[in-house]
Amino acid sequence: MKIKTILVAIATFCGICITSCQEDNLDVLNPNDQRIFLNWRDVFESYWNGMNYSYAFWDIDPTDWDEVYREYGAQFDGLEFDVKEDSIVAAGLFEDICSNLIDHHYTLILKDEHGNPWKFFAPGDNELKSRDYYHEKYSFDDITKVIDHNHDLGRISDTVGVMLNNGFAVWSYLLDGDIAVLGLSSFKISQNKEVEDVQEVLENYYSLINETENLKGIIIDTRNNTGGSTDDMFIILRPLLSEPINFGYTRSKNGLGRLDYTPWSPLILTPFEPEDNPVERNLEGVPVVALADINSISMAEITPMAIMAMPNGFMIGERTTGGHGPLNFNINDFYTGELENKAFRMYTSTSMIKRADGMCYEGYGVVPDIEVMFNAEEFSKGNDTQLYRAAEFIHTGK
Amino acid sequence: MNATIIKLASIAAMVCTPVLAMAQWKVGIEGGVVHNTLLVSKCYDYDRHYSGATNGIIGVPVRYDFRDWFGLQAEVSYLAKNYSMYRSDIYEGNSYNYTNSYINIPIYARFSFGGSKVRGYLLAGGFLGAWLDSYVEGNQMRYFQTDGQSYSDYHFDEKVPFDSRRDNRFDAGLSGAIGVEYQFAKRFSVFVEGRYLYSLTDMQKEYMLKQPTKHNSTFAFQVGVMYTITTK
Repeated sequence: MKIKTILVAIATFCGICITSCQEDNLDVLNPNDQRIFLNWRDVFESYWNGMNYSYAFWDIDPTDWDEVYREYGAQFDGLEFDVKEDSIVAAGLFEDICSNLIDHHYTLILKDEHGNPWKFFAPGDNELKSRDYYHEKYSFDDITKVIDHNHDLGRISDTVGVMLNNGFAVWSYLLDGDIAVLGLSSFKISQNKEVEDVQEVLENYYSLINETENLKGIIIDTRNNTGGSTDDMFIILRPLLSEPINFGYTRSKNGLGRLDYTPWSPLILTPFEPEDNPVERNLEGVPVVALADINSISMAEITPMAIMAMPNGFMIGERTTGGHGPLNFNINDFYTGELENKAFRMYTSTSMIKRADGMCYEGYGVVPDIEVMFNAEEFSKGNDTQLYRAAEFIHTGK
Repeated sequence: MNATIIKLASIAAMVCTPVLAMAQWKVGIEGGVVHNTLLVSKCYDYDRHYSGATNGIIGVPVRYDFRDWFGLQAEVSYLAKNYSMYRSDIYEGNSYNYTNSYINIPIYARFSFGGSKVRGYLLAGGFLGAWLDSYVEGNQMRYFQTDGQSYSDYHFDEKVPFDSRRDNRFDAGLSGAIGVEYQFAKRFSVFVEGRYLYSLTDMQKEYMLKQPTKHNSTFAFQVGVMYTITTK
C-alpha cells in the first residue's frame, strides 16, 4: 500500500513536470504574411487579429475590440469577393469598425481583387472635420501670397523658399526686422538635404538667427504640415538648445496581449557641441514660438511639444490633429504598427507618446499656450493673423 | 440516538488514539534557489524569445506527522518567479528582464520512506499565493537618438506598476517535491529537496478574446532544518 502510494505520487509529479513544459501556440498568422483570403470573413479575421495583437493604443482607445468581434464577425459570414453588393456591405462594416479608433494616423485601406487600393477609411479625418474650428489645408501658393503681401507691407524681408517637385516646401524669412521664421510643409529636410535650394533656406534660417542685430524671437511654423522624419528636428531645434530637454516619452508593445507594453523611453533632445552648432548666438531669453494648427500632425505636433519643453518655448495657434505616435512602417519592429497583405493595408503608429506632463494626447492634440484661430477671410487677403499674433507675443511678452 | 453518538465517538477514539500518540509537530526554515520559466503563447512574434531566470526562495514550513510515513506540510514561501524576454537578429540587445516577487502558501501530503535517521520523502499538493511586485531591467530603443539608430540605446531598471485590467495577482497551482531528510539530533533534522510549482492561474486576467496565455513554471532546489516541537 505504501509503495503503491509512493509510486502514484512519483508518477503524478513527473506528469505535471512533463506536461507543464509545453508551449501553447496561438494559431494566428502574421497578417503581414497572409496571402490567401477566400472571402470577406477571412479578411475580417486577419484584420481583427492584427489589431488585437498589434495596435499600439489599446491602453487608451475607447473601442471595445471584443465587442467588435462578437457584433461584426458573423455579419461578414457569406460575404463573397465576387459579389459587388457583398463587397460594399463589407466595406461599410470595416468603416464602422474603425470609426472610433483613437490613432489619428490611422488609415485602413481595403484592396480590390488586383491588389489595388479600393477603399480608404481614416477615422481621424472624420473626427477633425467634426471640430468646430476645422478648416481646410491651404496650398504653398497661398503661403507665397501671404509672404508677398507682407513683403509689400514691409513686415517680411530676407525671404528664401523652395517648393520641390515632390511637394515638399520649406521657407525662411525675417519678420518685422527682428524675428527669424522657418516654415515647412512636411518634415522632409533631411531627405532633401543635398538639394541646394533646401540648403539655402537652412543657411538663411541660421544666418538670420546669427546675424540679426536685435533678434527678438524665433518662429517655427508647422501649420498645415503633414509630418515626416524625426531627423528634421535635429536640424531645426538642436541648434537652438543650450541644454538637453526631455519633452515626453514613448512606448510600444512587448507582448501580444493588448496591454503588454514596454517601459517608457524618454524623448530627449540634446544640443550640438559648440564647434558643430550652426547657431553661434546665445539664445538665452530669446523666445522660440511654435506656430501650429488643426492640420499639424505627427512631427508637426511633436516639434511644438519639444519647443514647449524648452525654457524659452511657447506655442501659438490651434489645437493640433492628435496623431503623434511615431511610425516605423514595419510591424516586425515591435509587432505593432503598419502591416499590409493582399487584402488590406493598415497604416498605424508603432508607438504611443505621452508628454512630459504624463498625459497622452493622441486623438486630442497639443493645446497651444495662446489659442488663435485661423481667419480664412484675412488669410485670403494675405493677412496671416496667427503669424501676427505670434509676432505680437514676441514683441510684448503677452 | 445518544447511544449511537457515544458508540461512534468511542470507535473514533479507538482508531485515532494510536495515530495521535505517534503524531509530531515540526517547524523549520528553508531556502534555496528557484528557476522560473514563463510558459507563454507564441503567435507571429517570431524573434521575440523567452528564457527562464534564477533567483531565490525562503520559507517557513510547518509539518504534522500522523505516522512515520505520512504527514501534512504547510508553509509560507517568499520567492521570485523571474523570466526574460529578448529579441534576436537585427533587434538583438533589446531585452526585458522581469523580477516578479510572490508569496506562496503550499499545502502538501508528505510520504516518507527509509530508515530511522535518513529518510526520503515525497510532497504532493498545491499552493495558493499572491504576486507582490514586479520590476523590469533591460534595454530598448529610444527615438531621437543623436548617435545613430540602435534598438538597445535606452537602459531601464524600474518598478512595473500593476494594471488592474490586466494583471492577475492571485496565484495558485500544483506542486510536488522529492527530498531527503537526515535526523541528526532528537529534535533536529536537516533536509534537501527539489520542488516543482506549476501555476494553474494565468498571470493575466481574462481581459481579451484570443488571449495569449502566461503561466509560471518554477523549479526550486532548497535546503532546510526542521525542529520537532512535540515528540512521541
